Amino acid sequence: MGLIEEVAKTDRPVLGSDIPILVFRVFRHFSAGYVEEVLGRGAAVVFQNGGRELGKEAGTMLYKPDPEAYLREVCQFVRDSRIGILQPRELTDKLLVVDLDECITCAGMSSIGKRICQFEVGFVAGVTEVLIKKKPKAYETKCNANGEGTCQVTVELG
Amino acid sequence: MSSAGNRIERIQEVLRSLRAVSPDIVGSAMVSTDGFIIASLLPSEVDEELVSGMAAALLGVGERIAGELMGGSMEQTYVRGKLGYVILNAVGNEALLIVLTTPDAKLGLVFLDIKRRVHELTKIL
Repeated sequence: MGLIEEVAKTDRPVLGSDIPILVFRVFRHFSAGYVEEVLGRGAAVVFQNGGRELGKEAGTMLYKPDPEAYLREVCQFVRDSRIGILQPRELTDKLLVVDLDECITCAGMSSIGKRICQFEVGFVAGVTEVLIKKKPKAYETKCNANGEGTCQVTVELG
Repeated sequence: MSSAGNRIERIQEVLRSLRAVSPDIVGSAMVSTDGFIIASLLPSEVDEELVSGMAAALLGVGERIAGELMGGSMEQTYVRGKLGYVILNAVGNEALLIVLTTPDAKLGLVFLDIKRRVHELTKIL
């Protein structure tokens, strides 16, 4: 059983299974802040690799051999999960560029002058890895938290 | 061969020469600070992807400790285990060298060899 299936089991008859996004963000940003304090620039690798693991597991569950159908499936999953609205912007044999609008981590935040969505970068890299069957480099090319209006991930395919 | 391929081959050659110069050195790898293996002569049973992630994290911890406790930059971090040493050395700002040694390794000599190879690797990068 994968980690997604494992953590999907909830037993909260009084509190239910939904939480406000504020709660998610508080958990996310406090833990990220401390990990960054301890690991310095190593924190980005840790978060990105965590996102990759999730992306690979989700990608394996959603996999379709046709790349376009697979990409549609991933976009729908991201939207249904309310992680954000994933929109492919560019796809060549060398690059995949996707926007992540309404990002769960940072949409609406004031600019803090840096890009912070390494986990989401890893997620996109992980689902891409399932498709291309090798570990691609990926980086964030826009981020709400950096005042750029959306989050954007660029994946090097070649 | 592309220039990137040529560069990786040259890095691989430096790693081979590092292992050849000392019987105490049993493996090595060059990893980017964003956690990607650039070149590797690690034993086959090692999970290179995991090691590269751990190395990048350890580099970060080393830098933070060096900065916080000693007010300087980090050059090297090492871990001593029952089966040997794992030595991490920064190579410029974008990469690091991981070296595995035997438990009885003469560290002074190993450090000297690493220092020479780091100089070569920095030039290649």
